[in-house]
Amino acid sequence: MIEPILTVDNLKTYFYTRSGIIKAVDGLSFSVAKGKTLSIVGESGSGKSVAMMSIMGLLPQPPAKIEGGSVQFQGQDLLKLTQTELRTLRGRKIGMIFQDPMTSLNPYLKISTQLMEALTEHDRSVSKQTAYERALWTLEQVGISDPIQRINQYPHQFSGGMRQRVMIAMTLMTDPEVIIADEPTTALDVTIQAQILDILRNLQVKRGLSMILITHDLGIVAGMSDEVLVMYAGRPVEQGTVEELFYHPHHPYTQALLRSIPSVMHENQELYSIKGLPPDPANLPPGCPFAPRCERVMPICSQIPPVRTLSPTHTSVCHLETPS
Amino acid sequence: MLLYICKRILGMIPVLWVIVTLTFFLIRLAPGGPFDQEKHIPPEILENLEAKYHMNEPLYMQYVHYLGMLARGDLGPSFRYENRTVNEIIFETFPVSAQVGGLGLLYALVIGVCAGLFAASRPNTFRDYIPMFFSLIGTCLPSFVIGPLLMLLFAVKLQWVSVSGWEKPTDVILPAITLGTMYAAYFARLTRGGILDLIRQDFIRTAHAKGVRGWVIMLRHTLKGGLLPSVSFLGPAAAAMLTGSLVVETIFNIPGLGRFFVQSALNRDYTLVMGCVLFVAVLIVLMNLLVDIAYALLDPRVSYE
Repeated sequence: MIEPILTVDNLKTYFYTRSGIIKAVDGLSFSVAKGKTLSIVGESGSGKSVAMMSIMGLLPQPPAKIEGGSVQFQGQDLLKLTQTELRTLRGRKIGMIFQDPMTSLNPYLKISTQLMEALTEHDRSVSKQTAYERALWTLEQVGISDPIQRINQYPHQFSGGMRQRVMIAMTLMTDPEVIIADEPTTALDVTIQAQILDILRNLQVKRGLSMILITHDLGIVAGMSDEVLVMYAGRPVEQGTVEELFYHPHHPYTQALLRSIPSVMHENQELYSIKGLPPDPANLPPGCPFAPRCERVMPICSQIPPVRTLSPTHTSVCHLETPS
Repeated sequence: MLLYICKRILGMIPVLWVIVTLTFFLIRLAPGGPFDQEKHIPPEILENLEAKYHMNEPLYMQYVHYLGMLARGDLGPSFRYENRTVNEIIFETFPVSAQVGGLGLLYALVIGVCAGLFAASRPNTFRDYIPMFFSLIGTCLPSFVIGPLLMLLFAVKLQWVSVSGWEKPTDVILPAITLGTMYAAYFARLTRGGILDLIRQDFIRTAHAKGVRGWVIMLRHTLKGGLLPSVSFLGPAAAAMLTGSLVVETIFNIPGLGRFFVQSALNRDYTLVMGCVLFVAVLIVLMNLLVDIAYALLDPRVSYE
C-alpha cells in the first residue's frame, strides 16, 4: 500500500445552532494515498463539503466547532495549527476547487491579480514578472487559448467552463501536493464537465497530485477515482477501492445508490430510487442513521453498527454480515 | 466613455429646464412678494421697483425674459440685496461653503470608510460595536449640538482655534467637522454593510482557500465592492455639503451660500431663489455623473459603452 499523504481520523464537526447541535460530520476517517484520487460520495447535506472545509480551516467558528479527531498531513495535525500556520498551508500545499465557478472568482479583480496572489501571498520574494509568467503558464496548462489576452480580463468575460479552468489554474500557481475538488463539475453542462475532468486527470498524472474529489455523480467516481468513501448523515458508510465498491458493495445504502443509476440495459424500467428523505441532521435516529430508509432493516439497527473489515482496503459500517 | 459623458451632460439640459420652470412658477405661487415689507412702500416707488425688475409685465413675459437671461449665463439682479447680482452672491459665498463642505466631505470619507472597514473586519465583536456605537451617536446628534460642543472644547477650553468667524485659515476646521460628522456616521455604516455583504460571498472563501492574508482580503477583495454603497450616497452628500448648511453657517458665523439660500426663500427674493436652486441642481446632477463614472471604475461589470 502506498504511503498516505493526508490522513483524517475520527473527525467530528458540529454546528451549534438555535435549533440544537447539528452533527454535520461525526466520526469520519479516511486517507488519501500519494498520487491517487479518493472520491467522497453522498447526498446533499451528508457532510462532504463540511468535512473538507474542516480540513482547510475554512469553517466559520462559531457556529461550527471541530469537536475531535485529527488530520495528519506531512507530519503535522492540521486541526492543531493556528489560523496563521494553516493559512501558509492553504493554497500552497493543499489547493481547493469549488462547486460554482460563477461565484467563486472575485468579479472586481482581474484574472491576473487573482492568479498571481495565489503565489505571491505565500512567497513574497517572487517578483511580479515571475508570478505573471507563472500565471500565463498555468492558464496554458488548463487549456485556455490566448492567455496573454485573457489574463487581463475580468471573470464576467469568461464562460462557466472557462472560469472553472481558471480556478484549476489558480491551484497550480503553487505546487500543491493535494487538491480538494468540491463538486467541480456540478454547475457545468455535460460536455464541459468532461473537459474539466480531463484536465484534472491529466494534471494528476503529470504532476503526481493527490486528489479528493467530492461528487454525487457515480459516473465521475467510476471514471476518476482509485478509492471511494460513501457518506451518509455525516458518517462514513462504506469505503474501498472503486472495484470493491462497484462490484462488491456491502452496505445497503451503497447498493441502493448503485441501483439508482439509470442503465441502458433496462431502458424501459422505472428508475429505482431510495425511499424517504435524508434524516434531520439535528435529530438523527439512534444507531444506524440509514435504518429508517433501509430495505433490510433489523431490530439491532437501533444500536450503533460495527465497522466490518471486508478486505484490507474495504470497510463497511453495518450490522449485516453478508452483502445480499 | 467620453461619448457617454457628453451624452449625460447634454441630458442635463432638459432636467435643468424642468427644474427652472417648476421653481419659477412655484415660488411665484407662494404668498407675498419680494417688496412686501413691514414698512409700507409708497405706490410710486413700488411702481418703479416693479418696472425695474420687470414685475409689471405678464407672468409668461417674465418667464421668457428670465430664460433669455439664463441663456446668457446671467442669473439676474437680486431683488433684496441692492446693487448685487445673483451671480456675484453665488461666486462670493460658494467658495466659502465649498471649503467647509470639501474639508467636511474629506473628513467624513476618511473617518467613515476607516471606521466601516475596522468594524467589518471583526463583525459582532467589540471592534464592531464601538465604531458602530459612535456612528449611532453621530447620526443622532444634530449639528447645533455638535457645533457648540466642539466650540466649547477646542475654542474655549483648549483655545486652539477661534470660536467663530471667517478670518484665519483654521476657521474652516470646526465647521467642517460639525458638518461632516453625520456624514461620517453614514459612510461608516454603508461601508460596513457593503463589506459584510461581500464577505459572505463564495469568492472570499476562494481567497481564504488560496491562503491570502486576512487584511489583504479586506483591502484587495472586499474594499472595491464594499465601497459601492458609499459611492452611491456620495453624490447627494457631496452636493448637500458643498452648498453649505444654514445651521453650521449660523453657529460659526460664516458667510456661506447656505444662509443666502434660506434667506432668499423667506424674502421671496425670486432671482436669488432661482439662482440657488439652479446651482444646487447643477451640482447634484454633476455629482451623480461623477458617481456613475466612479461606479464603472470600481466595478468592471458596469460599462457605459
